[in-house]
Amino acid sequence: MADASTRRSPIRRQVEADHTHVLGAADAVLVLHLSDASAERDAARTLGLIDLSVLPKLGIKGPSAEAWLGEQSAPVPTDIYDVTSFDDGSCLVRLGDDEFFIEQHPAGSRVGGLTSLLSSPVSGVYPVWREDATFVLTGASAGEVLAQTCGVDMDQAVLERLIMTRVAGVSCSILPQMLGELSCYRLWLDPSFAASMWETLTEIVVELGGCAVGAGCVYPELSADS
Amino acid sequence: MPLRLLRFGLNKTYKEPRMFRAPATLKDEYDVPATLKDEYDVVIIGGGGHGLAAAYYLAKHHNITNVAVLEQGYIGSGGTGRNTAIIRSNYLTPEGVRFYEKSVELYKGLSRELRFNLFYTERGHYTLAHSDAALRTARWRAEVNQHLGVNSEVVDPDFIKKHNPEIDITCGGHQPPVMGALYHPPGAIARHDAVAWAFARGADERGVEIHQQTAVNDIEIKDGAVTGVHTNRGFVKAKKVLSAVAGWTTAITQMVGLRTPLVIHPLQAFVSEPIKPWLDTIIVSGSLHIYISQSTRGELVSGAALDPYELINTRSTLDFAEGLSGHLIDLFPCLSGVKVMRQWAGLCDMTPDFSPIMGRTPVHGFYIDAGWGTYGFKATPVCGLTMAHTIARDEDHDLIRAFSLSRFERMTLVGEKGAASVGH
Amino acid sequence: MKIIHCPVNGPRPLQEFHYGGEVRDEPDAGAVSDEQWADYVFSRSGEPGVKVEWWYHIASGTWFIAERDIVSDEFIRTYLYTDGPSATAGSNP
Repeated sequence: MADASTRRSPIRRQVEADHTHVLGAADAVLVLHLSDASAERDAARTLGLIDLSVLPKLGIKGPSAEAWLGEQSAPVPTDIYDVTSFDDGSCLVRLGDDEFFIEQHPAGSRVGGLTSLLSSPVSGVYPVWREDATFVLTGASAGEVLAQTCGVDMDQAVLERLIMTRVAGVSCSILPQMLGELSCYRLWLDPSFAASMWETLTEIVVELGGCAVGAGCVYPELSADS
Repeated sequence: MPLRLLRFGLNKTYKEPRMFRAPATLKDEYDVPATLKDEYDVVIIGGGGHGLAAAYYLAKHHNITNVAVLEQGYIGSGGTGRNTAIIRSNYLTPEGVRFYEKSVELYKGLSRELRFNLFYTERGHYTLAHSDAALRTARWRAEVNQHLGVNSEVVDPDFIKKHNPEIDITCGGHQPPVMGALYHPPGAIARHDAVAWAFARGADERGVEIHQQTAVNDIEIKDGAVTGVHTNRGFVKAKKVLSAVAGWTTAITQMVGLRTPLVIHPLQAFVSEPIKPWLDTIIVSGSLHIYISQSTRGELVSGAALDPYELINTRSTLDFAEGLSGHLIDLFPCLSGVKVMRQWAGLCDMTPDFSPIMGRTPVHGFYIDAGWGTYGFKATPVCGLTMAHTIARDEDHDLIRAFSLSRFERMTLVGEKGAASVGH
Repeated sequence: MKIIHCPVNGPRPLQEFHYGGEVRDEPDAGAVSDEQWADYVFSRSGEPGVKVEWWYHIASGTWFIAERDIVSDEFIRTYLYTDGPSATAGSNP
């Protein structure tokens, strides 16, 4: 499950259609930049939209989930909706008393490791196949996009605390966070809604003067040219 | 100028009761009769179309005239005045089709019978299908309808487009396209207030008393039988009481200690500003949750599905106006510039099988005409007819036997998927 | 916009919720009469008043209890089923 080499973003066709010149054969991996890197980094400071859906994810549930994660030296969050980071940068979200969600950092390997540990049954710990789409809104105007599409006031939102709500009519988990110096909102949603959500968000982002950009804007350490 | 008009024009107060006689001493502008009698043969709770029609047929067919209709507001102020005035009989179950077909038959002769123009006009009724499942239900309904002699058939998108040139069969790509429709040529609309007024006048002429501003607060029961009702104007004796209050039924059944499956949901509707005659058919889409027709005044009358949760309140919401407008424009893009003029809600007493609850009850002398959900207006005359029969003979009329409250206990539900606002 | 207090997620617009109907306890099907069973299956407390209902916050998958006046549409209190009425999440204006 969640093998990085086989994961495909549910919206790769849309992104390809818009940016054929940069994508080529790279659809299985993270697209670092859709156009000129420095221009994109500038754009992302105002308003950018990034597709990180290919990042591997894993859900873990069960009465022993918390204890088991502890044994794997995971930084288990205490409160529901709190978010912590593994040593490799992968994030760990507590969704309930016995329920967790993990998304791997682009340069990390935690999800792969935990998944293989769970390939043989562990009592009271159940892996949950997660194929969520991941979109990130970046920059100063990111909040405006959500103000137009979501009923929760993001000005009151706390960094690194998950909000489960509705964006443009679709159930989403939103994580307000800082990625480098960029203030961002990370959106997780059911992949079957990804195409229409991408279309809706792109429309609003473009209207507000932003554009779709690559993952290199928020993970500069991955860029060869940085 | 007719002399009568001049006489009224020069008077500061209106000299006559508008629709029905009021006893000699007028209490106020609502024509409330000064006194209630001590006893009536039949008390009808609810002065809507159903209650007034029952009173009319009690007097006309059964010669029972010592009848009081008690209405907490003014006549026709509930579901009768809040529906979207559609009349049709293309239902799904044989029980439903027979019942509504009788209603359509009565409606056709009603303006003449009651000497009151109900503006009954046949428009042709289209139930659009946007999916294979909906088309299958349409075929099923057409078969049942034709078998029972109701004019009803499945038509293709070309036919729909030809007769409704402004319709966008593709729904602008925002919704699944129209794949066909159940077409019911006798589908009609009527002026709904006039139905209440006409039955009120007809009943009144035969000696029935109509008491507006008279609310029932409790119902007296002795040894399992009704003995009378407590009203805001005192106690009235009656051995037979009919509840015909639609959205307020659960409050009434509580008074007699009767448990029913009824839950109340609001259903919202709106009208546009009046425009030139443009839409001469009635269009319904179950998938888009809309129905639309153009009234004789030129307003587009449109309604949606039930509100999604139980509520005994006729509040309106912006959500509804937005949602309905969006779907209307998907189907009729030409309406994008037309303004919404007025919005309201009616109360729907819903049953789990979308069929009404009618007839006798375990409480002797307490009759119920409820569960009218989204289909009460079109059933008005037949409900009056059958309930009058049921009350007069203390025996359920043949046409309503299947709708008895006891069907739930017997697990013999009448699944009526042909009702408005039912998804397929 | 109507706001409902979810016991887990806090105040949210009505659109984020799904209505789950009256809270009803299932009788022992083997012990009750047919009439009592039919009453459980079909009958509802539809009369005006405050009702105890199931509500569901869709985005987070949270089922919870709301005490609501079905005439005024006022949410009197909301709480998780397992917590009971004492753990009230807040009322709506």
